[in-house]
Amino acid sequence: MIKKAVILILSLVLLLWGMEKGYDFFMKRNVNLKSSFVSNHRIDAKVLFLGPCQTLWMMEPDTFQKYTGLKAYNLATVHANFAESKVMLWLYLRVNKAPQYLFLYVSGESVDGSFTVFNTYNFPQFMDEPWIRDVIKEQDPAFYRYSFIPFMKYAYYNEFVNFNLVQGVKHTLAGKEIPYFANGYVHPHDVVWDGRLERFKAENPQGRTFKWKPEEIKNLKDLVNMAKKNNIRLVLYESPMLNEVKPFLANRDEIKNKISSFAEENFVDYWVFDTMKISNSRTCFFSILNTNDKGSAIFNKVFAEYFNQWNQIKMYPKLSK
Amino acid sequence: MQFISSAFFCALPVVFLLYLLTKPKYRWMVLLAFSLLFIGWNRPYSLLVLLLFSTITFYCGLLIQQFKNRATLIYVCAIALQAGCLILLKSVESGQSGLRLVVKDEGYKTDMLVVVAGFSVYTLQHMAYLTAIYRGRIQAGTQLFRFLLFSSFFAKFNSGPFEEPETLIPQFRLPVIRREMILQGVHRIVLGLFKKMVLADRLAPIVSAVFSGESDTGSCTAISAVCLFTLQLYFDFSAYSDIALGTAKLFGIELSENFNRPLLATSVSDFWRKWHMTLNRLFSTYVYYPVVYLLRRNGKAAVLAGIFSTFLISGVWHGIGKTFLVWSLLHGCYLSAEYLTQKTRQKWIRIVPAKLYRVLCISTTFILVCFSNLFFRSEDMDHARHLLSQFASSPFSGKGVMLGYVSVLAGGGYEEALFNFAVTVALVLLFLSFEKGIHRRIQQSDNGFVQLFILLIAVVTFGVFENAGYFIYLQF
Repeated sequence: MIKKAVILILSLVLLLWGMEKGYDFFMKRNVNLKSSFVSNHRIDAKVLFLGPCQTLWMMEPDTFQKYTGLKAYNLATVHANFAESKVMLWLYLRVNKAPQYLFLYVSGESVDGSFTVFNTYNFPQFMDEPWIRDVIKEQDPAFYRYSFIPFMKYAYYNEFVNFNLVQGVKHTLAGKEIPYFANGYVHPHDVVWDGRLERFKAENPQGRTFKWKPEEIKNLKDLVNMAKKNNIRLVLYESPMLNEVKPFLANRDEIKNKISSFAEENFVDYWVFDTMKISNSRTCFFSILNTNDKGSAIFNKVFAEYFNQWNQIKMYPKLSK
Repeated sequence: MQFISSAFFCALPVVFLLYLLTKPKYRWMVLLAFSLLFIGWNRPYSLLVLLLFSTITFYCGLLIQQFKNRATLIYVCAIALQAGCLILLKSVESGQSGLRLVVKDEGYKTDMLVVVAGFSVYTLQHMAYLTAIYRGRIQAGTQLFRFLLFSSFFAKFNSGPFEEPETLIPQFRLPVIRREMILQGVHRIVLGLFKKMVLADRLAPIVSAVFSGESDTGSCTAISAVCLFTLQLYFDFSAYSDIALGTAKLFGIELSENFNRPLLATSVSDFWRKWHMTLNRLFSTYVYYPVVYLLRRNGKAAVLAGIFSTFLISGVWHGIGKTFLVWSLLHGCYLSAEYLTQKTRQKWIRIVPAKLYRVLCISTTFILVCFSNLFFRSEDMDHARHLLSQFASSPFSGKGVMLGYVSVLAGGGYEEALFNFAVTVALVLLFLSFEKGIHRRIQQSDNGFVQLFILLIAVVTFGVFENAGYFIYLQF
């Protein structure tokens, strides 16, 4: 029995090691997995959009390109915090030329950190990179502890990973090179009004107070430095939000001022689009912070025109009040 | 300490080695030390409560045996103390006690649970122990520390299986570990991990999405969620029992089986013979049979009274609240109806083909159990009523959470959701198809390596690792 047990343990370790290598291989070849795609394919966009779902679902690079003539790519991922955005930019810069402009979504929600996370399962295939290992160690220590056991880096979040693996196998066999969302933008056409505003109001009758979390700011600062190091013109921006919710954001002005001071200290621009007319009506939103198809079309046009104006006059626009 | 935790899996091999190196007659001391560490880990108050109640029970047992003329008084006082504390705990947990106001901290429930982890399991065993002594069925123990080990034995501490002292304490005396017991134990633990992490925890988000939401879901989603909850509950709880039995077996201790493929039960009474078997045995011995015996001159009414009183006590044991009351009454009604229609059903057996009759019986039992579990899972009666109203709504109306998983087939939704849903369904069906064979192979210790290997690979490939330590029955 001992012999059998030893054989079992050895074969298990060997199989897990082999599976880990197999997952590494196929995950890196999944073109629909944005982290894998941008680190393996030349995009060479002039403009990048970075941030969580507010960017992913709202910033349409083709519209931007139509109005500005600059090739754009949406590098955002769902719920991404600044650390995840930092890793995405790092992966992008591995094989791509640095963009001229980088637009990074910053708001009270993102500096608070309660609404954004580091989605570790987007990056296990890159854990052979010491820099990424360090970020993961800091962002997800529980995962990091187990990642030394063979295959555990995939086992830990397997419910998010297995589909990507299957897709990776399919893409490898089919030789697929173009992702489903070619310019990185994910179109939220299926989303209807989610009704979370009512829940938010009920949960925060006195209004929600956002925190200025040092760990989030540290990662934001890292992003600023990464942009500077690569000669990228960084612009922090906040997309429109539904006006109905503003009375329930207790320290919104205070946070905006802090972001503004941060931008000034670091010599980056800060654009806030919270005075647009679309913010008055639910018809342009499917959630508090996400515009729907109609709202996004208007916002993207305004954003591109604002960019053209700003780019033409070559001076900093006044910060929105 | 929880079963599925790094602390437990690090400590287990060390304690096991220590156990092997210790002389058999002293091995129980290793078990006792580890059990106390297991309980006191992060929750020392829980350990103090256990020590207090175990000591009281032990000496009450001795007193009942020694002072025959005052045995009834001592017995009643001891039972009243334990039952009173248990009811108090349940009412605090259900938020129906004034204690909520006394403990101002918002996390009162968590704090109370930390203080009294395993309380409802060992008090029930204590009450059974005292009753057995009072009735003269067993002799009171004379060694306090062995009794303490009986109460605190880590493998069964949190959620059972419920054991009687006469079956467990003798095993502590000279535990013998055989080679096949170790393999069977490891195999059983891995099977438990598979059931919990691969089956129960993959079903959990689908079920929670419906039971936690207040929005309209449509009847299709609501009915599916109620059925899936029954599966989740079975996998979750039987996983706990598997890990308990497996770890005990590693140490040469045989605990009682708690489940015997209850989802294939052909009647509700058959279901209760196969579901949470040790608790039902306890309730049958100490509630059902005494009540029936007491009322034996009343014919069928005695049986009905026995059924309802057993389930009412079982309901209170699970929690004080209307939902548990409805759950227990439903099962009381099911069993009463089954008892009263025995003769009619005998006629059907002769008319309907045997296989069809069996399929009908299994399906009917499953539906009845699922329906009662709607109340078992609901937060309160309003929540249960809301879900019931969804049963009557249009199949695809509202926010069909369940439909979200398959909506990609109709051109919407996400492929990933469909993939994960399909994998979960496939794994559940595969397991249910091979469940009998899996258990048989565990018993055949020399032929189980391939199965063990497959289960381990399935756990790391499809298991949910986050919150794996939380079992549904820990809340009871």
